[in-house]
Amino acid sequence: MIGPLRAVATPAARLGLVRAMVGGYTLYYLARRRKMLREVVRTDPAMFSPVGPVRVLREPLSAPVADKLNDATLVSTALFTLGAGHRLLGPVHSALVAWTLSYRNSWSMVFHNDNTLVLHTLALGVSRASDAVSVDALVTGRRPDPHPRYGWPLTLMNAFSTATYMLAGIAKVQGPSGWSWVHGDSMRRQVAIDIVRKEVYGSEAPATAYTLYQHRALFTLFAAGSLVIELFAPVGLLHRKLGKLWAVGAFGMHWGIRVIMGIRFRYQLSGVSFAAWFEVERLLDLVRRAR
Amino acid sequence: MSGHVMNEVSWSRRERTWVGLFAAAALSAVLLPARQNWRAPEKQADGFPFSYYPMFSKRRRQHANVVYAVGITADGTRRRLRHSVLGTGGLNQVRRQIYRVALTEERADDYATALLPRLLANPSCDDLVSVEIVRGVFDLDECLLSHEVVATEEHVLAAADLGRVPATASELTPAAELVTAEELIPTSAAATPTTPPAAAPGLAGAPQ
Repeated sequence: MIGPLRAVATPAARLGLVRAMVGGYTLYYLARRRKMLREVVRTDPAMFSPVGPVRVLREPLSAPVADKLNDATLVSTALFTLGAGHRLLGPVHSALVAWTLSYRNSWSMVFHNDNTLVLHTLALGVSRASDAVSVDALVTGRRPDPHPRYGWPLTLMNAFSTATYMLAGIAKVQGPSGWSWVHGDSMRRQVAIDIVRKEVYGSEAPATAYTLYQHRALFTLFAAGSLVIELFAPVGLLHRKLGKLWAVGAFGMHWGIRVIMGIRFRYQLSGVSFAAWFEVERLLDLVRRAR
Repeated sequence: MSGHVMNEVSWSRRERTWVGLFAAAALSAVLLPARQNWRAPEKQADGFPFSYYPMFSKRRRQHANVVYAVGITADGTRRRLRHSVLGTGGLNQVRRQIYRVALTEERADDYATALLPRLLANPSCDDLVSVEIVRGVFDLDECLLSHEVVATEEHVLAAADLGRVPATASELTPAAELVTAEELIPTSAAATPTTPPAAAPGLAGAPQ
């Protein structure tokens, strides 16, 4: 294997902390949406359009069963975050998150911003992500040495991230605009249609979009920047510093989208989506020193 | 990954093989949807969590269609209804559902009828006497440059009567007044409602 894909020893604490961060984010995300999820599973069955693993169903589950699955996912998320019983619960949690978010996306609208969270959870769930920074580690008292088994899940998470951005880039240049997408007109119109929909449906539209819309050249800049970040994303896998640079760029792009379009890619905006690129275990050292 | 390289022997062959196979399978599953970009549009299919991100390959034109619901009061005032009045799951889910039923499935009447119980139960809609499902055509440049989102054309796809005497402003509960301001959006006085129930799937700039 080349570059960061080779077997490199990685501290267990790095993987453990990333697990806790992703789990914490998921817990926050799902707990805040519990009421909404209860309403969504009671949507008119005619709107049911299953995606992902939910495609095994021809009709929606009964609402009480769907509620119980949502609540089970919340419980598994809490245990995943704590790193309790991870060997068994990790894969179960990955499956539950994939199911819950797929079921939520099975009502005629797919929220693609959940994709990365599901994929990251999968990588963490099947790995030994609770060998440190976890209840499991507290109970067993183990302090494992750095090992490649703590590195590959992080590398896989980063590969998932770069792959999804690259796919977005491919969709842009492979669409009807082709490489002229880089001129920014498609992006500008995409911003406009999004603002119109927000206004029509009574959601808050950011004033920035109106202000920037008249500046075509800016959109050429934004479009070129986003294409570079997306199409060249896999380059970040070749060298750790390049990877960090890419992560900072992608993080900035999402904040730009937030300001201009008012679209919240919450997982990316939180920064948790990019945690696997960094030596986050240093945060634990900072905490220890602060004591 | 700046740490020291471990002795490969300490990582069992079995574990490494499992990791390699799992990573290869998972990454292939993520990348495979890219082939949808080269398929005929009618054969393209999106998925979750494995997607080819079709929203980025849509053609975006100057004029765009948006399907929405308009509430009408006894004095004829027309107001676009907020997404939370129409359904659950957020703006985009509601928008996709209304588009699917009203345009793709050409069942705008069913949507309007199904909406009635929700409107009757919502205090912010106490002053409405009927509802219309409308396809609005918006000039994006005009909307964004004039800072005013106004449809250049409105086509009524379906209408339904709430079948009640509307509440007057003085009869609205304080709670109703609070949500009224938030949930009801004035629609364009300039827009001309017409009544061809012509469903128009595949129109330029149609919402995805």
